[in-house]
Amino acid sequence: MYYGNLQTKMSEEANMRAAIREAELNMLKSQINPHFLFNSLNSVSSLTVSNPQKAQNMIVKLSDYMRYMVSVKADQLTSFRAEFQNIERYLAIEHIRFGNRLIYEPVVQDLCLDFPIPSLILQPLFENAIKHGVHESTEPITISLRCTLVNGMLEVLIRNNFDPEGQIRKGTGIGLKNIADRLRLHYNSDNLLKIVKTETHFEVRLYFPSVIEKTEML
Amino acid sequence: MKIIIIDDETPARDLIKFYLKGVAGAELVAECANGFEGLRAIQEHQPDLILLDIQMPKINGFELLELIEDKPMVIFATAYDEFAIRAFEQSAVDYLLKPYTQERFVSAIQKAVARKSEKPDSGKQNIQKLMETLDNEPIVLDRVAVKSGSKIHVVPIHEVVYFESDGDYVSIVTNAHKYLKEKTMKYFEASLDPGQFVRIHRSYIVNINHISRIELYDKDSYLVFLKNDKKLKASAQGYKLLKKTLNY
Repeated sequence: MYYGNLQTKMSEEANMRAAIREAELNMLKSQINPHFLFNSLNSVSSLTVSNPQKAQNMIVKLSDYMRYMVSVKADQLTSFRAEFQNIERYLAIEHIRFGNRLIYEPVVQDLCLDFPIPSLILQPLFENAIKHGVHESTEPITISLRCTLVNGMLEVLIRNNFDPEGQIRKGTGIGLKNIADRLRLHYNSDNLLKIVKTETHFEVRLYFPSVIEKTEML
Repeated sequence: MKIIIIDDETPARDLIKFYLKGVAGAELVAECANGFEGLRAIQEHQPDLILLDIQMPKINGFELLELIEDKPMVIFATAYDEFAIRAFEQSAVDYLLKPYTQERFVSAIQKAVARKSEKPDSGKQNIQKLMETLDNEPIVLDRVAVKSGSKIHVVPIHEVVYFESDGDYVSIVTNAHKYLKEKTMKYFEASLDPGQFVRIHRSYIVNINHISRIELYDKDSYLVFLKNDKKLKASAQGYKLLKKTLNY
């Protein structure tokens, strides 16, 4: 009896370890998108002519962004504040590229800032909003972020409109599944990621519990 | 030399404009922020050269080229280097990988100037060659850009019920429309997801998601019934392939 349980437990652990390794790998792969980098550098190059001050600011933003991306470890816990700041850097850079095609509307309660969340878990969602929203539309895309504490949990809502005609390309599936997997690994709980897609809007809600029931091997 | 810039990012266009100022004889006639605008501007201005980005909303740079009849010379300016760059090297006038220097830009423009004075028609031929090379690249289509009258439609591939050969053209049939495109069946056969589209006959490529049932027709052929009640003929060979794809 005991032996059987142990075996089950060991294989569960092995499965989980494999899942974590895969999540880490996927995350590393997605950390810095080379097209984002090269297009941003092209914008910087342009700004050195039209607005050198802005070019300098963009170089600093880009450096801070990259410094953050290379320094965070896979799936370590960090404060929401640190993630939020990095997302704002990322969006500020994209805003220089896309101008008023990208509108960003954050509403973040101060109480949320020190809440611990897994590193880089939100970043891919903003990248998706850019990729499927801004890249595929000639009209302005609004990305809104709303952050609240609900029953001791941190609720993060990310929402963007999109051009229904531009939505032929698929591919969000794997990224979203990856985020759901990471949440499950961290909190031993399902249903921490909710997705609502309508004709014109894409919305993701994430719930971060405050008590972390980490497994021992994490 | 008449030039049009087509790029969806303002700073990228600004940089090209700045670089162009230093080039004698370069006349910027239009600046476009997406493929649709680009298409209209090309028809209106008949430029000698376009500076073209690839990744853009609505229709991308390749789709844009497919839709132009009188093709100007093309210099690609893009951050994407993973595919078709080799093709550009041979067939487009030049390709610029973002970011690029003014020197590099000017040398690309000079190539275009040289090519124009050499053979006035070579731009066109080169793009034809480029499109052929691109056709040979293993790219899986997820949409098709088609022209009907003066309108451009971007048809999502999952809406296509079947492709039918039609002389020098291929008919692209959806539940609501039928479009003609100057391509070959061979091209579509090679560019579609083989898990979703099957060449069931010399004349037909069918979307398996739109099939309702298949019946034996005579000794060597079958009838494929579609969900919209149309029927297509399948050859023995096509039936075999269909069976394999549907896994039954």
